[in-house]
Amino acid sequence: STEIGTTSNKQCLIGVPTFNRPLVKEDENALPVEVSSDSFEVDLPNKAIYKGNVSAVQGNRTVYSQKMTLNQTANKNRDLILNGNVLYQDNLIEMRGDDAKMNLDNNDVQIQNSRYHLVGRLGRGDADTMEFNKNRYIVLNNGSFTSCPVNNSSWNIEGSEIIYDNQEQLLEVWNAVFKIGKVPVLYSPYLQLPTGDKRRSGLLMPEFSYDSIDGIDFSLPIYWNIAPNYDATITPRVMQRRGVQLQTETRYLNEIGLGTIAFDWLQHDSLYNKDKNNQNTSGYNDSSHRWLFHWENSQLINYNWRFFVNTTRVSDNQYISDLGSKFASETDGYLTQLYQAGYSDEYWDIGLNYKYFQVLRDDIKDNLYHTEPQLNINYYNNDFENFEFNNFSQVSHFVSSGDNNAKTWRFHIAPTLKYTLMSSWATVTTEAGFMATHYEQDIPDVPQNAYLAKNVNRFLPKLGIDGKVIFERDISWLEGYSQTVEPRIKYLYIPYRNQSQIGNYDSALLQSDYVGLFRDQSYSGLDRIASANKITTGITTRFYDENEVEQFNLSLGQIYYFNQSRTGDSNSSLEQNDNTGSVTWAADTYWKVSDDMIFRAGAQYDKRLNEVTLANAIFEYRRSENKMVQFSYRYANKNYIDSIGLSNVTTPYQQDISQLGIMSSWPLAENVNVVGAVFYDTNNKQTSDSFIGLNYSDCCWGVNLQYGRKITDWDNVTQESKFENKFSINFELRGLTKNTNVVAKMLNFGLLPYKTAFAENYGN
Amino acid sequence: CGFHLQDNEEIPKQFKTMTFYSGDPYGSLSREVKKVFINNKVKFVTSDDKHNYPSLHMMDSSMTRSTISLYQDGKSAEYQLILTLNAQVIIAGDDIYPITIKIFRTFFDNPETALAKSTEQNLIEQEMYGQAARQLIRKLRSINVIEHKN
Amino acid sequence: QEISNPTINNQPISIDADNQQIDLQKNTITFTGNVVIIQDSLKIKANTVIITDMQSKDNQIMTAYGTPVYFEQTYQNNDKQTITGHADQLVYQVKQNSVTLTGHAELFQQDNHIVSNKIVYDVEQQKIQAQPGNGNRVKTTIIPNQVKEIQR
Repeated sequence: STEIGTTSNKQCLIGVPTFNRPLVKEDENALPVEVSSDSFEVDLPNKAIYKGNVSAVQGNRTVYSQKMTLNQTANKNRDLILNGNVLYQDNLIEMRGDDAKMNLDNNDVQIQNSRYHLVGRLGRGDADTMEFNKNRYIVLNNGSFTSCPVNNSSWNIEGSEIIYDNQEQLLEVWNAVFKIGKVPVLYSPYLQLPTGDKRRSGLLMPEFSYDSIDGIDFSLPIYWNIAPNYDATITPRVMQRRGVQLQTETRYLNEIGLGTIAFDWLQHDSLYNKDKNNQNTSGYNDSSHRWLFHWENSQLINYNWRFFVNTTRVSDNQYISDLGSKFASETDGYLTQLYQAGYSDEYWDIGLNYKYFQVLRDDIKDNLYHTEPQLNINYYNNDFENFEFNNFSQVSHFVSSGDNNAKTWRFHIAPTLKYTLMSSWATVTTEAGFMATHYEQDIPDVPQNAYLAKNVNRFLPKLGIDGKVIFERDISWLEGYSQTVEPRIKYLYIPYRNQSQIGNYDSALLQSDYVGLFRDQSYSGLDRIASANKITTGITTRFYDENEVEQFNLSLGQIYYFNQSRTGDSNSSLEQNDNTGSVTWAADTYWKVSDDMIFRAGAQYDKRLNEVTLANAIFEYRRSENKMVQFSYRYANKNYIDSIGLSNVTTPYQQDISQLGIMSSWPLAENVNVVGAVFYDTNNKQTSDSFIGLNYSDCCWGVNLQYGRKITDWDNVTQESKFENKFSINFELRGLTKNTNVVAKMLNFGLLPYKTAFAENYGN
Repeated sequence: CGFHLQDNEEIPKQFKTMTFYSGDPYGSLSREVKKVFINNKVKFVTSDDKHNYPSLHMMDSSMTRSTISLYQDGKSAEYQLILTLNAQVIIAGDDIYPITIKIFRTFFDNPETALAKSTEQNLIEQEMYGQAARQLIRKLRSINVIEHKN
Repeated sequence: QEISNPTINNQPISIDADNQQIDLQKNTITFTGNVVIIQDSLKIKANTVIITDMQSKDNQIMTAYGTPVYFEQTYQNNDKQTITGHADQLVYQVKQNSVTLTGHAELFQQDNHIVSNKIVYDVEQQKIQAQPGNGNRVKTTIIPNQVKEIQR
């Protein structure tokens, strides 16, 4: 049976009408009506009366009744009057009633004191009178709707008028009364409810939670279908110790593209004021208005022109950790505002972008650079056999809000030619190119800029040769299995250029996992191009099963420096001592233990620190969508964190990262699921993020109870982490949309969201 | 110990000529996949209405970034990038082989050098497209075996 | 050959058949072979037609057999409409002016195509009735006028 917590599970569909005749595609109104009855009478010229178990079939439609009268007034609209336990069925809906009227020309149906049930899915109710017209709209007068199965009346919505639009998959209710059992719980003059997946609306039920900082937190999302291509969710939210917030999210699809605009507004946050006054740290805004703006838009015009926007801004540094938002994570240290326009075709990929950052810490706000603008021009050419030519050129204008920081124009061009020789068992690629850069730095006269020069030119040739051989064999002790061993060796030469006169705008020392060992650059960006006279060697072995599906791989590699990799930039700690020889090691592995178990791990070692710099491992057992347990461990060495530029200002505390994690979701009973997670920091002996949750899912409703504790901030005075406990309960109407997997959503309750190690997409 | 040089090509013979369909043919992922396939001696033909060549359909792809480890102030230490690619190989117009590929990479975040970190993220994403393309080739080998079995 | 001026319901009727026999004792006349009967708006084609009580207006009955018997009748009201039908057997009761089709009876009236094992057409009352009884069903097909007028 399908898994609980997901959609149409079998018990819920008992009693749901199905349509099991071949679907008639053409226009039903033009098809003849086949009638069969016990008796038939015609009062000439135009009144025909059918009596006794009358059944009339037209295309996908069938109407049963005790008596049916056909008035044919000179070929004008011809009405069928049906009396005596009328039953209407087609591929969309089944309606029962005492009397009914059906028009043979436009095939609209009207039924008195009727009961209806949608076909093939949950969704039923009754009405004094009911109409089904244009083969699309179901109009109920004084009617009701619920998605509960036939014998279950947990909730229903009553309204003076209800319109169910089957094409838009939307329910509109006027004078709506939401009832739990017999008890009216909520009244609204007008209410919209999406009943399909066409609407991206997520949960529409009220969410209630209590946490130790904000107190009671109650939000009620209201869905509004503005037009076929525009819809919005407006969510008033009341927080006991902060105030009333209004969240709005509008989704659109028009000429600008497919996009989302969100704006949240909190007029007056009392807790924020209190924090501001008694808190000794800075970084609090004076005004107590708190807002978030988010705009996301993507557009692709006939595959060549593309426009992309992804921008999020907040009113103050504490906004996200205090109020939260689905457009930013509480763990983000900064928010990105990116505006991009581009053209690309077979050979060219040109992009112009403006990229800004909002750092959520005042002390480092001013030394941040952003590109205003940056133009990337890539040319690719694979037309010549075995040759691959590409030219990367870029113009960047780096600007910073700190007035001691240089404002710089950078012009860069880097053509590269690759020649590849290939056979079934080996590949050898030789690569030649150069990188030419021109800087125009507008330098404020301040001691920190003493080394910088106004105009700097840098020219760096690059030579590389990269060879790989593949050996294979059948594995004797594993029937049908085969194994490959793939040694790879890459030599790279880049001469040394002293780049101390160049400011560092977009370069940071890169960490290198196994794939990163074979990179040409050891710094990101272009301001630091390290000299290289090094050989990278690596070996990968893979195990394939009888269907050549990869079950296991292990890779191990190292970089051997003939002489030290330098940039002339003295403050990078990795360049202090003269390190040559085999300096950096990296390994990673993947093992599909069985169909339900996967193991992934990786580690890196750096001789300059003489320690393991990074290590991680993850093991996941997954039986089905909601039955899984995941063990993870992540380690990062403190000295290494310092060495890759995370200077002391960023992390006010000096510790290795050693994080042990367990995350699980397990079905306890037929429709009860438990979820839980613990992430334990072994160095500081504290749990940084943990939660436990319970989900009960019935056919047409569900409830989640969840309790969690997580770090929210660092207290400089006590030198300890600050925590928040949160309890939340929320209800959910089920059977309306193909429900997003609620249990998977519960796994994202804490700071560290659930990401499956499996290739298949479980949860989101 | 039984090892010998691999005799059959990385790309099975039946996939030496293919058609390529993508919702964003000049996006970075599709461009990288085509480049890696061309480097492995695959010839792409534009039209093949008689379906006598297999076709590779890039159904959809997504790149997500999420926090994977924390500092003591609750802020993110490491981010994890996950590239998910859903593709289909259709042979002779009717056998459809769905392919799901996921690439996992992590990198350290540093709010103080946000621009450098976002440049690093772009670099890693570009590498992930290459990894996905090479994994797609390895998946062709298993499709080739299954196709000959039935 | 042509029967000179026989009358049904004292209206002229023309009957054409390969041959005919008159049985004076039973007072019946029988026509066989491609029988075609026309009486102003009524037209019947059958293999065999038996007319009883030729003279009496009250209980004169015409019974027609065919494989099948064809029947057509146009009636005048606001616009000219014809009813056609066929069956294994047709009985025309003159006095009551009603036509009864039995055995694979089918009748076409305006948009309705009626199938039953018994259909009664009361010309006087302008009523058609199909009551097969004992569990048999009447099948009717209504042709929506879109097909004819092709409105859209």
